Amino acid sequence: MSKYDIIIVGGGHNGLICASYLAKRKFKTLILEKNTEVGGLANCGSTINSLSSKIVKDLNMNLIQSNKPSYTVALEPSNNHTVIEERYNDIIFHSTSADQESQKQFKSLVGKYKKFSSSLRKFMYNEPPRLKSGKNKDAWQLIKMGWSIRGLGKRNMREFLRIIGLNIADELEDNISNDTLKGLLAYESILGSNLGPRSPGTVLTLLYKQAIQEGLIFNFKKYERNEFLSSLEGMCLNQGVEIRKNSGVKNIILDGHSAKGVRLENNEEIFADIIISNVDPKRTYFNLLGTEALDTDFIRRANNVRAKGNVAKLNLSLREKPIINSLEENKSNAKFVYAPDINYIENSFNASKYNTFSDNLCIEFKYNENEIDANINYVPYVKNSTHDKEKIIQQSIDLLKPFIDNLNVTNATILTPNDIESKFHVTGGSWNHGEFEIDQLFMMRPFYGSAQYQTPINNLYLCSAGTHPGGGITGINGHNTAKKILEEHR
Amino acid sequence: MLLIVEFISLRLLVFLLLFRRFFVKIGFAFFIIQSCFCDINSSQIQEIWLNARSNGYIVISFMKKNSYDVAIIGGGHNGLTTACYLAKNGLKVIVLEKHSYTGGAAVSRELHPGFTYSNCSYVCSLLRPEIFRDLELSKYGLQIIPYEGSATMLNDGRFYAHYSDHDLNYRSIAKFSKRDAEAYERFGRDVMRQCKIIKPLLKMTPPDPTSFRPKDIMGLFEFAKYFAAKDELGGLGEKELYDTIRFWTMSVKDYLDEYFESEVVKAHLAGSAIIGTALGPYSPGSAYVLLHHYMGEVDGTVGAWGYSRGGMGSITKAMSQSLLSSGGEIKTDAEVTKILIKNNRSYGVVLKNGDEVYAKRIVSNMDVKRTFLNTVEESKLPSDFYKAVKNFKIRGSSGKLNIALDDIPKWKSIPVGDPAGTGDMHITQSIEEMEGAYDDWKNGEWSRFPYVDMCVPSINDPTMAPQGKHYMSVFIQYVPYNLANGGWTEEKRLKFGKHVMGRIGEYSSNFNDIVLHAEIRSPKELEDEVGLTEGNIFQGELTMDQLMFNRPVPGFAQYKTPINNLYMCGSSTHPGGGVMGAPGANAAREILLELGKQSESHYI
Repeated sequence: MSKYDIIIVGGGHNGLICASYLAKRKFKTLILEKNTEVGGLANCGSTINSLSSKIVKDLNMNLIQSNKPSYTVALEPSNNHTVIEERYNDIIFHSTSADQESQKQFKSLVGKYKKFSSSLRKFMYNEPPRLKSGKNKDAWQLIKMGWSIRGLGKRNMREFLRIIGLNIADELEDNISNDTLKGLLAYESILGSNLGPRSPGTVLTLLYKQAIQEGLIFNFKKYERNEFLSSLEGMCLNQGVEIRKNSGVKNIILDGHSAKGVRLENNEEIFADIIISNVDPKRTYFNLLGTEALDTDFIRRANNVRAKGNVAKLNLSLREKPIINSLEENKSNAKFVYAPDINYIENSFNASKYNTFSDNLCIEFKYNENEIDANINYVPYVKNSTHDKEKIIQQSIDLLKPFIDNLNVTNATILTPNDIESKFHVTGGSWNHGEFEIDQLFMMRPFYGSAQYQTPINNLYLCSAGTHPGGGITGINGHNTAKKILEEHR
Repeated sequence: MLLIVEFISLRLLVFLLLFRRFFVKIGFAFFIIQSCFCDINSSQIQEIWLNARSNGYIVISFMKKNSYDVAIIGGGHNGLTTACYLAKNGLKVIVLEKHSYTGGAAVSRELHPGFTYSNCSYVCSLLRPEIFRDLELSKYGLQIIPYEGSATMLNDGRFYAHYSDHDLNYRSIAKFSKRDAEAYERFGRDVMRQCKIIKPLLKMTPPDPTSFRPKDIMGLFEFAKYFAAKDELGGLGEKELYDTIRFWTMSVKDYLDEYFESEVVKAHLAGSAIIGTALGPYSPGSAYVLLHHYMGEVDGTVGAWGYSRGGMGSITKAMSQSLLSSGGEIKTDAEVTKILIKNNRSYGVVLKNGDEVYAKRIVSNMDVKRTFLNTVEESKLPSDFYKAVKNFKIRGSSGKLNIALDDIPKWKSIPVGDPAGTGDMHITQSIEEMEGAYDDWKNGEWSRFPYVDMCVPSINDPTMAPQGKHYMSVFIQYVPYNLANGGWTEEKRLKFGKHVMGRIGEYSSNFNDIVLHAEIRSPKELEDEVGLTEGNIFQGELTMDQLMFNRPVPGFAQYKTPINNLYMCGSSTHPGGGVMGAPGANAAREILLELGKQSESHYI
């Protein structure tokens, strides 16, 4: 029976990144992956859009960033599509039905968010401070946080403190007059969440996403998915990380109040000094650890973590490469969004509250040759039940038809949140391992008692998207956990 | 000392006494006497007055007969509270009320012979006890009668009863779920703790977190100190801090899901979280509204609600009496159409009949939109501020029916004499149904299955209706202000009333036969009568972007406005709506502080 320094349960991107950081410091690390391939939910994305550039640099990852301009196309039934391109300090409208005034409003709003999100960004790479630990380190962090927000200037700080509690619909209605542009921005802020545009807190969701995506909302396609995953896996292997696939962990072995190893599904026992769970917090506590080791208040809090997936993944194979109506060929390297206005999105959301999907679905897609890769909103996770998948597929095709004349679907596969849950073992099929709402962010992510990557069990840490700063394929969670462990086990 | 009398017009007698500042300092008095006997109007007086001031004179003016220290626009409960505190401290105060009666949304009116309607607000709990004592409201006839229970009626003939008696309540919840009965103990304790936490914040002038003024820094320091106090000293532990943040930001559905499993228990408790707001029970932030309705107290019982004897108007009547006895004035039928502003300084108001009333300070009890969009010219305001006021969220979402009944209503589920039938009775099946009602509202329609909160105050308070007859107050959530398809018409209003009465009728065996008269109020009527923009009962949504230092406008949350000498005291300001009086009392404190007056009172 071999003994490791560190075992990481779950070979998602955060687990791999965490492992690379630790292996670089000569920790003997083992990654246990349940599925046949590593990558976890990163396998769902066609491109990796928001990977942190700090991590790429730190780990010397050999990745080629696509230098083609990336466009975002807001589809309109009139076929007068809005095509925008986001650069680091500007947004360029290539074509749009919106007038000059609306374009200006849109740019200034995105610019405002960029400024605000930059003040949040500084806190993404640190473990979130505790509010009242009595430690100077935490107090200092909090003061720094306050100071950084104050650094926005008086006027901006006031605006910032106002809009973090606001809903995106009100904010857009106050500032932008064009419906398509409102729809586009509203869609970005609700994507992956369990909120509608009129739910308070959606501005924060947008700012937060922008903060972990280095200030960008519409710029995407940074790395190819396969290239990213194979490079990440290769890098881990090079550094001596052992990766065992098809090795699901049954439970974590405890010695008193410390974790000392894991038991695999085939009952093999592996021991290590430190266990890191890349599994979402709920699964970590209830499936891997079991409630015997935890106290009631903690169990209650763990149980109350909200994670409800709302996005279905749709893959369409077509007979031929799709041609988007009235769009130039060279703009095909784009993300297409159909969410025509705020009320459309809100209506779509309304149905999801009652665990069903609406007749008006929102759709976001990219295509590569004759494959369309789409996200369908809102298709809620339903407990002990399932959706009529054929109907969702048909509805989605009907949505796309007006925009693509040569749409001939030969094969369609869909992953609803329920499928995502069973395939990738993520509670609720939620991308983010937990909603992005104030009560589940920062020092409260995933919940009090389990934040700061720690658990009540000694030597057991969390590094999944359920921790600060949250979901998205950024890798920051893995980075932060590694940083914490390196600090504690120098 | 020499005084020269100036005749400025035939109807005005004005003394202008000007001290040269320099001479005041060295102990001499030097008088500049200006006299003119020509006919000039009031704005010219102001000009002379202001010129003198800007030239370094200290002006003591014994201006016209109708000049006051403070004029308060609007005689609602907050306006009256501000007026009382100021008058008690020796200021010459006038309250200007557009109606022939004071009270705003806390009124008792006889709209059907023999019946007294609390036709806007209908139950009382939030009124701060310190204000109760300071203004000696008991002495002026105010009595609050707590009620013993409340109920939620289900369409299958069952009902959930909620009692203020602990053991009765336990048994009642246990009928639906034993686990919930246990959980309620925990819920009650947690909510009470949150009420305790929020109480001192209500009395606080919210510090501006962006400011470096000593006052704000001290305020923030106090705030931090309060949260930083050690557990043993009655402060908050780390866990409670997080729980507070969670409570303030979560949706009431998620919050209640953490405690209860029974749909009806959750639905009963969630009602408080949607009353008056444009949020659904699934919207983040709605749990705070629940807290807002729990933080009151009756006779020292936190979270209890009661009827004001003689209707809600008794509260404002007592306040008016208290004001008159402290030497304040109330002028009714005096609608203010314009606030007079010169050089960014307000000095008076214009009434609808053309009269002008002058005062050194103007306090507006109207909501922030009405104050700045209707009575102040846009050109007098900074553009940022104007835009912020325009974007202030104030949405009508509630309707009201006031019904005169020939007999006591009999419910299919609640037996006669059960204390649960004497308090507020709700009609709703589940939180999901409430959310559906909210979805209808979002689409610009009144809810197909509205949340109905009704009570029969005349059971506990016989003064409200003739012998044997009853008055029933029905509150309906949600009703839009901007009704889809052409807005409100008389026909639609009646249709809406029928719709609600139909729903009530389904739950009663005799309701349909005993209705004598019904007053049907959509948000439109509430706006027209009381003057609340869009008929929002809180003078502005209670969402995080509009609470504390953001209420009503970031940077102007300390009851002051960009116009010098113009203040706000309505529910648009911190801590928000409800018949609470706290905004009024806080505004009064700010004004007294500015005047350097020390007040001996419980509240301030």
